[in-house]
Amino acid sequence: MSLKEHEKTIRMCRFCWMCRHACPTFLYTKNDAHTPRGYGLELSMILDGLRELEPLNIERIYQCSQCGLCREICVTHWPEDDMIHGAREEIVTAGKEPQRVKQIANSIIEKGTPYGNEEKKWNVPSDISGKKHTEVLYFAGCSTRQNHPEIIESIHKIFKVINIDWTMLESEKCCGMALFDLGYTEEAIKVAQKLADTISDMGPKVLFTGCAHCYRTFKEKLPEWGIKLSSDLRIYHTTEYFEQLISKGKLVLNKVSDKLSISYHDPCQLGRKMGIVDAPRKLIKKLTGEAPIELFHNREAAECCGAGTTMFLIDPELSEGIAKVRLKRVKEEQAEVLVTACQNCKTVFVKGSKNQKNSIKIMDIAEFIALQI
Amino acid sequence: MNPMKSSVYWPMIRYELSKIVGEKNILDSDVDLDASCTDTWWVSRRWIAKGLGIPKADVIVFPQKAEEVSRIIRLAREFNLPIIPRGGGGGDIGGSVPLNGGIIVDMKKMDRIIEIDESSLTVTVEPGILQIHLEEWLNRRGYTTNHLPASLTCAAVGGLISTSGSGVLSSKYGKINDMVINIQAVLPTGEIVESLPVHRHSMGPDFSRLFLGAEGTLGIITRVTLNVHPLPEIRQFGTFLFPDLPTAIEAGRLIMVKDLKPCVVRLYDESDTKAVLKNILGIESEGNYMIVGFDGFREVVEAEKKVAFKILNEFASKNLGEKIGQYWWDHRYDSYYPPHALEGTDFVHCVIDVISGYDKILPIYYGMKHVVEEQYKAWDPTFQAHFSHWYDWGISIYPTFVLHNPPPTFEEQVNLFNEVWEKCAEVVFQQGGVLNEHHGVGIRTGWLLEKQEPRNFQLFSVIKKTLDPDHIMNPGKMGLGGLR
Repeated sequence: MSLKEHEKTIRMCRFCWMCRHACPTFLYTKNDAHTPRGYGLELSMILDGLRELEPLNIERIYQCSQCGLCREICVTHWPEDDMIHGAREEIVTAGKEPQRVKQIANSIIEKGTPYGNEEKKWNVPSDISGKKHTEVLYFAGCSTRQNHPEIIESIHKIFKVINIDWTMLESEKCCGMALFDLGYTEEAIKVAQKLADTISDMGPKVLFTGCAHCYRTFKEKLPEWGIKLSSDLRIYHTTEYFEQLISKGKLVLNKVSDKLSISYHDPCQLGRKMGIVDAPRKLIKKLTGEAPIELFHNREAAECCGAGTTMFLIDPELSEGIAKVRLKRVKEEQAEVLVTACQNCKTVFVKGSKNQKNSIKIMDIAEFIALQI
Repeated sequence: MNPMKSSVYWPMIRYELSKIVGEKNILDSDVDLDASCTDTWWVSRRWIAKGLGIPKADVIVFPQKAEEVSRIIRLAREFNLPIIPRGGGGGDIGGSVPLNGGIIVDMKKMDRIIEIDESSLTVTVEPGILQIHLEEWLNRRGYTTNHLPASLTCAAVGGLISTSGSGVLSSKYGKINDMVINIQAVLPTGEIVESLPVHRHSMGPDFSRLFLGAEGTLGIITRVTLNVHPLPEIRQFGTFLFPDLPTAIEAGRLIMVKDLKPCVVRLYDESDTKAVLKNILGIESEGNYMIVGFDGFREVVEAEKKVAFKILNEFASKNLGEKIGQYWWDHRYDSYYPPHALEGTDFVHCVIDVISGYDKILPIYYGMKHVVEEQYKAWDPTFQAHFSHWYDWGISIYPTFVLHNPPPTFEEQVNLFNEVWEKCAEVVFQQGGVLNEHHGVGIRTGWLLEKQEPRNFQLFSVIKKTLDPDHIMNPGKMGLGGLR
């Protein structure tokens, strides 16, 4: 898709200031170029031949976390996130992407992961992986496998008390969302197709993932890209899956939660983009007996943690800064634990809370469930 | 090339700025300057829409404390560089547009909430905080500034003060000027000054007033204390349809002069009534509709409503009930989101805000309407207005004019824009009204400031020359000159 196809959004947003106050990048940098209006203005000038795509405006275009909060709070819901995505596709087509973007994309295309190196090891018996035709396939996602073995270990701990046959892929490859996010849509579709074939070959009845980005690929992007999984495969996010199991009495909690005050941070891809906002709250209530303390900006209107799908890899310093802004607001609610449901949120929150006074404990929802077992 | 950047001094200035605010707080690339050198003024939007380019500052700096602002100003003075203070930057008067280079002093990183005093109900903040962020922070603690302008999400507190802003609840809670208790500011010579710490009481002159509406021409505000209010227990609305404008204004006037305290009074003229009621609410109606709101404790609101609605019912042709008012409140900012009806077309457009005593407001309204509709017929004009800030001494009117089919060139359009402004201004001046009292002056109407009241302008010019002898602060704005 070319920039021209987003012209209407570009021209609409270039004079509009109504969502700037919510843009997570702007909240940290205070730079007007880091806002939907700033992007619309620059892209309109490019369309009009007054500017060209050059390193500095390209850098700005990759500093949008693609959280979609601008679109959400816009009364008329202009798709600013799609506009930025279109600009990234244009950049990639022109071969003008920054070196770091190119490295990440090449790593995914060649090795199936943006990290390019060996995965970290986690303490889960190796015979769990690679089983065909199990009831459940748990897809961890590359960022969980690379950065959060504790989440996989928590899933293992939970399954120890459930009588359900489950497995993981022996070798997981990227779902394609990171490539899509960077503007490599054609390549994203190719890697997504490969992964879909692998999953289909495994033949599970249920596929669930704790990664909000992978979840969006499975539920939204695969159908959009014309990629088919088995028609009777049920797809869930971790929060939905375990909430159902607890409701049906298939997952019994042995331990009553410590009386900790909990806040829940809605990951952008899960809450805003996929509408999963109730399952995590119900789950936390079942785990603690109490609803989580709501953050002031929550559910579909939650502020971004700063990770994005790839921004924390492209520009870790910016991501950390944005995470600190979100954490500052989180702390106002005075919860002791911040639970989230995406590993990338955890990554940047943990980083952003280091060396901070009265730092809050940050956990993925899977770890929080495992604590109750 | 920007003017200063081509100078041999530029590396020295850049180095000094970096020492003051740190390299991370300096931006000078085209992409960053593009976004910070325009506002919502019709002319600046036309520059972009017509591909005419944007006047550029040389650099944007983000100070984080008053001392840094002071050092930046001293440096600018040394090199005779323009300073363009910037808050939210979303004004519609060209006030934050750099006209010939210089340093944009972007205050948005000075956005800390320093203190809330819950006994005296004040909040002390830095001026770069966006009003929406301050409101949200206060709301979480059960308070509000009650300053809710249409620019709520875009404007910074410093910008609201610098343009003497009014919010939708001004009839009860006043303008931002009425909320300011104390101001710290940096003068154009670099001194950091501070006004007295109490609300509109002083031993000697109250210099906090000096910065209200000064649009960064007399210094940069670096800290402000505002009064706040508890969130009201309830806020309720009534909506009334009147047979004609004079009847409606008289009904509203009676509410105000009888010392009732509505938080909202908003009256639409015939053409605005038709547009709003039909397009937004789906009601076909002739006349003038008025929304009246009250807030506070339930018992007080009920009592005030009872008295006020009795007056309004005596004059109104129809009581439209409470739902329309509530709908208006919930959707009052929706029209600011695109698609804006006129975008993508060639048009000349402006809102002229005017305030006067009750006896003058109708002649002003009819005079301006006549000018636009009769003298500019050739350009397919529309003129509609609403009356939205009501006091016991007078009333504010917002007429909007649009010329839907203007001449083709930018120069002709700007000439026409200014001509309509001038002729409408003449009507206002003849009748004794005051122009532009809360959107600011900037470039848009700087050239009219002296015409409005020469003696007032003379005093302003004297103060300006005294405080800013080198004319570095926001040159080219408010009719003060100073362009290099």
